[in-house]
Amino acid sequence: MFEKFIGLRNYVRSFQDYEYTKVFSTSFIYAGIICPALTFIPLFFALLIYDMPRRLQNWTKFAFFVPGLASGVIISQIWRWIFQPQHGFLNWVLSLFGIESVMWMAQKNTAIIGISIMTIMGGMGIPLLIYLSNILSIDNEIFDAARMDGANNLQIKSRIVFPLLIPSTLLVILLTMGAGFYILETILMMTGGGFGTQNFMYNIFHEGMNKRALGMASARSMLLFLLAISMVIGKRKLESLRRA
Amino acid sequence: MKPIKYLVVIAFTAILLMPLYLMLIGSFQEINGLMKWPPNLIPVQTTLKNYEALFTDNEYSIHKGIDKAVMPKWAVNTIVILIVKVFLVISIALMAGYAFSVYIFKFKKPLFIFFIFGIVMPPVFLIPSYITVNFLGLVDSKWGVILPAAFSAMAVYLFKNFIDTIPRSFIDSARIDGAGETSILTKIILPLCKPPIGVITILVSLGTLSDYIWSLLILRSYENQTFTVGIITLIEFGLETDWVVNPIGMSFAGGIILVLPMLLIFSFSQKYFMTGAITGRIKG
Repeated sequence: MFEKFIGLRNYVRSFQDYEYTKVFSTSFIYAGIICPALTFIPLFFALLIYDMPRRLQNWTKFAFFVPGLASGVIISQIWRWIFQPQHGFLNWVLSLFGIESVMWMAQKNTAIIGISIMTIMGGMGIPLLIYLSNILSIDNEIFDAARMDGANNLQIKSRIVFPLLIPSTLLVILLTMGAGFYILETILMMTGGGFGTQNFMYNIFHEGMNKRALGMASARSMLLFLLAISMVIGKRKLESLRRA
Repeated sequence: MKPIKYLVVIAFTAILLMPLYLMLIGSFQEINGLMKWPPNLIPVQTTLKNYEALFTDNEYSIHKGIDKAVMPKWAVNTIVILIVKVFLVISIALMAGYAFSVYIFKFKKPLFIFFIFGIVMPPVFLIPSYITVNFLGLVDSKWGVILPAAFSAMAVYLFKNFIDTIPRSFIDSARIDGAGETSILTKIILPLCKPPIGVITILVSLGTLSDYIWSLLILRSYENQTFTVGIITLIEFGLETDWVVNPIGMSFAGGIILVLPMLLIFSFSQKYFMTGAITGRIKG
């Protein structure tokens, strides 16, 4: 199947390729938008809802989970219409605030933002659950003691619950760090890799399936693998630091 | 203060569910209802034409030269793949999890860590897996979709953690009574393992239903495709050629059809999700 051994040439060629350097920066832009959003939005809502009625909590969990079920290709069907420039939903909402209509999926910056929003909406369920289950495991005596000392709700949340959640915040950061590298179906459906929206995973898919350069695609998979594995090792290192 | 908090939560959850709601009402709209400005936010003048366009025999069948509807075939394919996958995943992972939990052997810990990497890595292996499957000659066969998924590190992890909680004396007393390893596994461990089996069945079903890229790569000919790939192919075909009056509405209808089974599975298994039985893996 493979014709001849070419040593490290695929790796060298990857790094000389201008397109691939752009893929590199785009992937990190995705990660830079998605990771903080996936960490802090669920954190905010976990802090907001944990002392609310059970019913509302369950509803919030449901609403955070369901967009993630309809992942990638399925949810792209509606987002294509939402991002539509002439009669799309989003431009209509923006027009209510007097903002001119935007060509969402036909410009680099807005396309990256749009794809990030779709990924963020699909990925918030599990972080929210991690935070909520950690809040549930906090000892009730801590809350009682704080209340005895006259702390109000906001103080309890910001001075007691939030510091206790820092370990799980770190965990969520580490879990979602790579999320921006692996988006594939969404990019495929929304822009087809155009307008500078290629990330690592899409680039691998593109090299392997569209250009049929399986060797190059494998080399780039290997690079992504090294990146991912270094993140896992970094996570373990951080965890051992935390325990020490 | 309190009402503001409630308002924030309700508003945000509404935003999260907005796309699905728009897809649902949009799937019942005519084309002029979808092109309207401002858009319809409540269903008016509903029609079932979009669903009809998907289900009745259409240009796609003519294009492919078949005279009967392909939809039932796709549904059967998906169910077959799903059943075989669930069976293989559970039987392999049960044995592996049992071994990791009960036996003591060399390199147990490093091997297990190696397994855990398997949970984090999968998306990276798309092309290498494709090369392997191609090399084995499994392209365009159901086995090409089933076999790579048959070994799930996640399932091994769930089984191992669950078997760890079963008292060791169960196994010891069975051994003393002269039970072999096979009968310990099938008669003692398996009946106790209902929770992880349930969780894995749900996860595998959701994964199979939402899988698009891999099935698209492997199942080349249209009659081998899964339901998801088939519907998306129909939609893409409708958007490219202009055989449907309302390609947007049809794509919404397709999305709703694909999301419905997943929503059903999710709502029946919500307690597993919410008690963290599934997300528990992440703490590992």
